[in-house]
Amino acid sequence: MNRIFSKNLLKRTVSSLLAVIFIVSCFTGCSQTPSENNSNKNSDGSFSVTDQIGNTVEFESVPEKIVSVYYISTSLIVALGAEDSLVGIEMKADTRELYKRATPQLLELPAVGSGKEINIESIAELAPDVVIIPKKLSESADALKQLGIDVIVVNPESLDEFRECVSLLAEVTGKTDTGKSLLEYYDKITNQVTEKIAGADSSIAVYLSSASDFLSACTSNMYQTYLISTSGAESVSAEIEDTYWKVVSPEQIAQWNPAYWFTATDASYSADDIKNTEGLSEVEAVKSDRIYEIPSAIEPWDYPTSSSVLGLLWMSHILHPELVSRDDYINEAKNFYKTFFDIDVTEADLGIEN
Amino acid sequence: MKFKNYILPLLILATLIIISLLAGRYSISVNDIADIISGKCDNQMTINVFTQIRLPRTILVVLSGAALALSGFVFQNIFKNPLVSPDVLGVGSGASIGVILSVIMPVSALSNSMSSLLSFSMPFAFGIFTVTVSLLLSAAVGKSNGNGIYNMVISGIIISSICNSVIMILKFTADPERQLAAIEYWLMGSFANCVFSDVYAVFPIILISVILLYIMRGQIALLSFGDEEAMSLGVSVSRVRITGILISTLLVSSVVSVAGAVSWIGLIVPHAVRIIFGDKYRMNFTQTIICGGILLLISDILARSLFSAEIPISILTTLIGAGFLFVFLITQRRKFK
Repeated sequence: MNRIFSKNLLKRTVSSLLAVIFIVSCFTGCSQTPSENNSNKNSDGSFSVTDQIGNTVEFESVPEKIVSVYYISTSLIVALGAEDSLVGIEMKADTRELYKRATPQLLELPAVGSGKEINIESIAELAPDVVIIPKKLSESADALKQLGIDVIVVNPESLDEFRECVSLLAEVTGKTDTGKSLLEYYDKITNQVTEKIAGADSSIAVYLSSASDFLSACTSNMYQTYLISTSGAESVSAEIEDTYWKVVSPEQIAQWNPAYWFTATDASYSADDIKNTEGLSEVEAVKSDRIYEIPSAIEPWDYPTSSSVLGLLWMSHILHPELVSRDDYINEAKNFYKTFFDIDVTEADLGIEN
Repeated sequence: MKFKNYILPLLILATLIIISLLAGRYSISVNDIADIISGKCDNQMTINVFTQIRLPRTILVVLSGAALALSGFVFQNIFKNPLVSPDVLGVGSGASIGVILSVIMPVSALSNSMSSLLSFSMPFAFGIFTVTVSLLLSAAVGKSNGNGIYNMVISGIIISSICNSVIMILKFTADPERQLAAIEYWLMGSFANCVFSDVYAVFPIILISVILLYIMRGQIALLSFGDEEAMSLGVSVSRVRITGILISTLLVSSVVSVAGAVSWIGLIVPHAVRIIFGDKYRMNFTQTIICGGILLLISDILARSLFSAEIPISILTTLIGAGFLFVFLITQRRKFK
């Protein structure tokens, strides 16, 4: 009995400490403006920034022509209000509901790359001032530099990296005030959630599976793991040290026995597929019918995008409905899209059922 | 002699099956299994994990190992070349196209049974289609030069290359977030998704194919003496060769349908069997089936037990297979000296 009591006490102490560290780090984040993080500005308007793989890039002035080949950087540029600078974007833009609603003009731009590769000649044809690429394509940076095109590499995979990425893009696009507002908004919501769920049970076991396969689990260093822990729960698959989805066996899920099962936005399978899988029927989340797909229909809330803070609110509501109400996240979502994308959204637009 | 040639490998396989039923991320003891069998187990999760996940997976791995190894054995005899595997005619590449299409196509919009049927039948159909095209191409070329085996190999290389190109196109067009990782994973093979319905789907195909190949084993053996000698002994060379290839293709395609691409078993197991037990065709046929099950079962136990995340099966089969070939080559070199 004493051992159980000590274990619980230790758990609570560690949880409280983590919460304090998290809040302090959030406030530290709030106190930093984008310019303090990444850039050096000179009096003649020239400035330099350091991208997320440590390369320093110098600009004579704010770039007027930007190419972004990565959905996350493109959507952040839109959130920053710098979409008019974009002259080329990633492929399959017509599948992005956010672009259709907020910035339909982007659909007319040339598609010059994807998360897998870029077309250097097409980019050269556009003669951009800077190209934004994800870290996984950083090998292409040299070829672009040889053509005299500046390259910014982004890598928004963790909470800190996401914040860095927002600051970096805000500096590059000259939208430091909007960048600051975005981060402040992010901090405000995060703090609200942290305050609301303080004292709640933080040991709820959650399993989050990828959009492609329900056996593909969210790992320790993924952004989604931060969302789960900040929502007052534990990601069961965080024991797998990695930065990307990893496939696990059904019996590993049975061993973890999560109380909640979240599936990534726009999953290629349904909750029924999980329920109908042999061997998983006794898993707590399946038995209790607690399988939820992360919203939204406009853009994924589980990605390291500006709207992921809405994913945090949504997750907190699902895990602690008595502390975070449905109205809390619905109203905040409407407010968010109006503020940063200037669009009015309904629950149906977000793909959220009544 | 009979003990070493048949009973010992069977004992090793039986031991591995028991280990496989006990090993895994979910803790199941011998007592739990005894309770499940006697109906005394009251933990429904343990019953489900054992009966619906681990048991079908073990059965499927043994069946798949046997099927892949036997198909390799038949191909090596038909092509009179110990370095040949079923991939020589493009069955692996063709079936992989089917796998990728089943990932890319919006099958989730269909009913569950239709979606499962498509996911199973596409790799199967594409594997058979690819080999058929290779054989037809070989037959068309054969009319001009009459060199059967050579034509088949060249046709296989051409068709495999086209298939690999199609695979690259499909990967290039795949959604990097939702599809690409799943495709890559399937191309490395895994039994993580296997359930009893997969066993029901492939068991009859594998059983019938093995029986047919067993019946044909004498005629296939005669092919290794050369076409003229086989013909002089009354073998219809073309008929036996094409039938053997098509049945072996059925074996490989059925495995790819449920587990993705599993490398090296078809190439390395017949080799290993000849080295361990001696080059005795009649015995090697059965030994290859047993040893295929053994090698794939060892790989699968490691794949699902070492870490929380599953290791794709081809990583382990390739490592073990290449390791074995390395040791084999070194041994041969020393013998030669």
